[in-house]
Amino acid sequence: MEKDQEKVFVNDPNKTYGLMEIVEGTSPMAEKAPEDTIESFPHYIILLTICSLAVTFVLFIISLFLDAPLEELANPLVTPNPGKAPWYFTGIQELIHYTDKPVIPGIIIPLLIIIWLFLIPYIDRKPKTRFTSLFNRIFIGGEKRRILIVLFTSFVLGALIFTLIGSLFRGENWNFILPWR
Amino acid sequence: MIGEKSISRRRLMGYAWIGAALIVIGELIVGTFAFLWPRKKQGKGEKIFIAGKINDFKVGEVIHFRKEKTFIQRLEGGFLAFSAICPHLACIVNWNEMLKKFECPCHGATFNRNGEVLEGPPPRPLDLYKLQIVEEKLVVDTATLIERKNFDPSQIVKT
Amino acid sequence: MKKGILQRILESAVWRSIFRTGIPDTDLKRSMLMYNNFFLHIFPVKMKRHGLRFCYTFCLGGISFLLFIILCVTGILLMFLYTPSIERAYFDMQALALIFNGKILRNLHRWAAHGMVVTVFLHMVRVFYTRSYRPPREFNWVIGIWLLILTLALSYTGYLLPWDQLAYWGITVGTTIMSYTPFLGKHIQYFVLGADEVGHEALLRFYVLHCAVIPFVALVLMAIHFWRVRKDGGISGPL
Ligand code: HEM
Ligand code: FES
Repeated sequence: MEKDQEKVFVNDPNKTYGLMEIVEGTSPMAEKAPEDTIESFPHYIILLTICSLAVTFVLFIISLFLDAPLEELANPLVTPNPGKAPWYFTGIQELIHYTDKPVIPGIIIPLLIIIWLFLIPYIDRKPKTRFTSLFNRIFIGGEKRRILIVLFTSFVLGALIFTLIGSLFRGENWNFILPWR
Repeated sequence: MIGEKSISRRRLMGYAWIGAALIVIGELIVGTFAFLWPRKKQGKGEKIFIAGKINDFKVGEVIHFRKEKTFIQRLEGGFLAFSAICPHLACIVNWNEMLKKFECPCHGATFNRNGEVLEGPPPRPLDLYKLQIVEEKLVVDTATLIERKNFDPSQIVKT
Repeated sequence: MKKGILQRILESAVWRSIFRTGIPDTDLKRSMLMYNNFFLHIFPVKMKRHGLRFCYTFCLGGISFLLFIILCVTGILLMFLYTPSIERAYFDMQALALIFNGKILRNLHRWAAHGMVVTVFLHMVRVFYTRSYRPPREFNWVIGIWLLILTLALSYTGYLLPWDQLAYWGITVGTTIMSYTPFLGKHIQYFVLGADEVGHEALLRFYVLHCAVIPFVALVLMAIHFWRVRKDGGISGPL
């Protein structure tokens, strides 16, 4: 802590310092760093309460008016048409319908994405050696991490688009439909 | 000591403890998996069914045996028994009498009347079940699945 | 001056034995209020003003956790009325609609689950764009990814439980995809389903995973996650 304070406030040897004023406050400001803290109670607790109540309230309203679906009893002999995965997997289902090798979109792509997500904090670091700086240039794109942002944004957008297509724009026999028709 | 490298007694004991711990942990993990491994079940009911007499089927007709998940088709020379389970991801396909093709509701695959893929993702044609003709009756063995690369007239069971 | 009823309660021996801090009128008492309370003491006594900005975190992690709690409460209530067997599961779900508040309970559970998938994903997106995964927070990001996986696993195992057409075919297709895993595929599918096809064994397995195993693991990971947020110096600063 001492060191930090020195950085912020460097004593100039050519000046003298003295107590000039006593400031009013509600508590001693020991170790008050320049980052400007604030009491959790009440500031944070109020935010927490409002946020929790709002979310619970919205959830209640939704649950009052929207019923969770319950289709017919499971029947191993008849597949409903269209047979859809839960919405968070319709993106993968959409990808699966393009290829005759379900391993690729079903296993390999999700696995690679997860491994990549795990590795993000370990590859986005300050480069130390020549090799890591080359690595950084390919996968991160410098201090502003341009490449990483492009990759991540396209991952998020891709997931969004394929999920939307799969869950809204696919009808009987997985044919393309327009949901508003 | 004779060896060039020696390890101290303390080290050795340390390794021994680590080894013992690893064995115990490994045993626990393997044991849990073995415990959870599914028991072999007795086959559920009959795997063999009698679809009917030869003359019950007209040439060119495809009949869906829902309960048995089987389609039976009579061709010029004989019969084919298809499994209704899509070779892609196991949905149940339907026979479209209008367009004369099989359709899968899950990823939109279609198959021609011989079970070959017309469009869509399945990696192989519809699988066949073993079919025998005994005393003018069709006997289908749904326990014996025949996977195939493409349709071949030799797959037809002659009448 | 006569003491009001509220003040009498606040000053009573019983109240003071539970909440040791009196009316928090000084900063010291405000701090004590935070760290003398079991539930509040996971929060720091003082926070960075910046970390409280709604537009920095969008409260997404907190909302995910709130939804998780709602899911636990409604889920435990649903367990009183649900039987994990293929003869009864579906009809239990149907009967639920006839029970007082049964339908809304099921709706709450369902929509909170969907909401949690959304908020956890968006939380990851926000952490990425604020670059909050940088040292010393790398490991918390890793725990976060595990939490994302577990959230999806929770939703997916819960999907089978109503035993309706959607459930049956969703799980059939999903586990058939698993069976395409090179080398081990068929064994993985067999192990997950407990049989060759989706049936009673699969329902029981998914039930235990959904109601006990995954929530427990997720809760432990969340505890570590929150603890790490504080150990790594609170909410990350601006870029
Ligand atoms: C069950 C799921 C999760 C819960 C309940 C949860 C909860 C939280 C909470 C309450 C915070 C405090 C800040 C905030 O609200 O944004 C937080 C921070 C954080 N979370 Fe999560 N989280 C979850 C999943 C994830 C995921 C999927 C990731 C990323 C892969 C992640 C990475 C992080 C990181 C790195 C921080 C520190 C952020 C900072 O200091 O700015 N968490 N989490
Ligand atoms: S399951 Fe038939 S096309 Fe995918």
